[in-house]
Amino acid sequence: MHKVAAHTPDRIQRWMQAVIMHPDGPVAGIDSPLAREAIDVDTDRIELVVCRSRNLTGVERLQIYSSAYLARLVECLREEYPAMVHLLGRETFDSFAVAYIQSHPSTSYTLSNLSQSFPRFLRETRPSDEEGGDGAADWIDFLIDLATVERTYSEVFDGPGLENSKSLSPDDLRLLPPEEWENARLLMNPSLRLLTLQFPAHEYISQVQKKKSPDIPAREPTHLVILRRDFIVRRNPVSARESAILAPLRRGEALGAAIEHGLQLKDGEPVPDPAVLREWFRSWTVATYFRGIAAPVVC
Amino acid sequence: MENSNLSRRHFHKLTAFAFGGLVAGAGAANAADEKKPTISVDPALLLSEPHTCRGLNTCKGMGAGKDNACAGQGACATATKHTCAGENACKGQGGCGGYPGQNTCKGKGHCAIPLSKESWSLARKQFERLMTDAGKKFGKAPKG
Repeated sequence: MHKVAAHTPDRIQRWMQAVIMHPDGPVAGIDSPLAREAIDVDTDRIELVVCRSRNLTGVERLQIYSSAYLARLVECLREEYPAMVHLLGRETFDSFAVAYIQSHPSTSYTLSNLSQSFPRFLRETRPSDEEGGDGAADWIDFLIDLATVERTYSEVFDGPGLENSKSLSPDDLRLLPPEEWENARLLMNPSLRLLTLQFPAHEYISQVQKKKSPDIPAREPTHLVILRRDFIVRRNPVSARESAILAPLRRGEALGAAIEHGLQLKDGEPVPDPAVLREWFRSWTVATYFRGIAAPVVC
Repeated sequence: MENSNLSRRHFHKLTAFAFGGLVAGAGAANAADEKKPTISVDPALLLSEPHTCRGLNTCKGMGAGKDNACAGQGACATATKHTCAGENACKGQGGCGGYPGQNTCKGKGHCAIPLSKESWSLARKQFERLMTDAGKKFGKAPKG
């Protein structure tokens, strides 16, 4: 065997990374521009870099690392989507996970970002109703909802919150004159997320967390507020009208505009009594949906 | 207000009630905060171990009491497989069977692509099994 020119540890490291992490496997990785830039060797001469062992070729030895890398990423997804694993079974879930990782290779320094596009991937690869077969449409939509909620739980768990700062206080509100209430813009808890789903997927997840085997729930429009409080991820189902008020508030619209948006919702829900509206805002505030009130704009 | 039967006066009333809710809620939350025990907590400490694991994305399972819930420990298992490869014990344990479409196979052109379509077909089978177990009716299988 020819002796290969000595490569610096830095080059070998970059080459190994490019080869092992390539979504199409080590053979494709060896030929990738990133790997060739570090060490310009093709698969025919790969054993100048990675020697064969008594039983394995150089490529096969690299394949072990490549497979282990993929297996570890799949393991990460399994941990992040336990209810999906429960629903699909491990083998089927892994199949989705591998397909996702191959189309969305990990590029972030943190594995927390690995599955950020997984729900979108499921939506984009969703078979048509015809392909899915009769009766499967509901189930497919449920699967996508489930992935959306589980991913949101992770993002809220990892993201910024109010644990180290205060939520909305009476002092924030006291100085605002009544004529400014309508124009007040509330600052939201940074962890707060608002989801609109076709199924109560959160209940299924809760059942799985309790080690139960829930049935797939019936289709039911579901609005969820998900946020973190005291380092615990919490989910609160809300009505469509509550969601219609919270959504513009989260976008930074003024209190009056948000209420108006909520009142214009035409989905059969009764227009809330003022006392009901007051209770909504009270309970939202207690639940730390808001962290403050924006300073009024001075023209 | 456009497209609304509510009078301006009633709308102002609603806004005032909403603002009242904010004030009441802020007061209640404030009082609750004051009742909290003033234990000195360093959030960094609280988060450090989960965060370390979380970076590996597998800490969520820790609550289940699994010893191998952390990715770092999962990696150890993988590393074990590495070492046994030299002894030829691992070959055949990995490969397509465990992870359909994994790199080895695709690189060698053995795995069915596009994989996502295959995944959805697998999912359909799981769906049929679940529906059967639940005694529910479902339509015909997807076209191939």
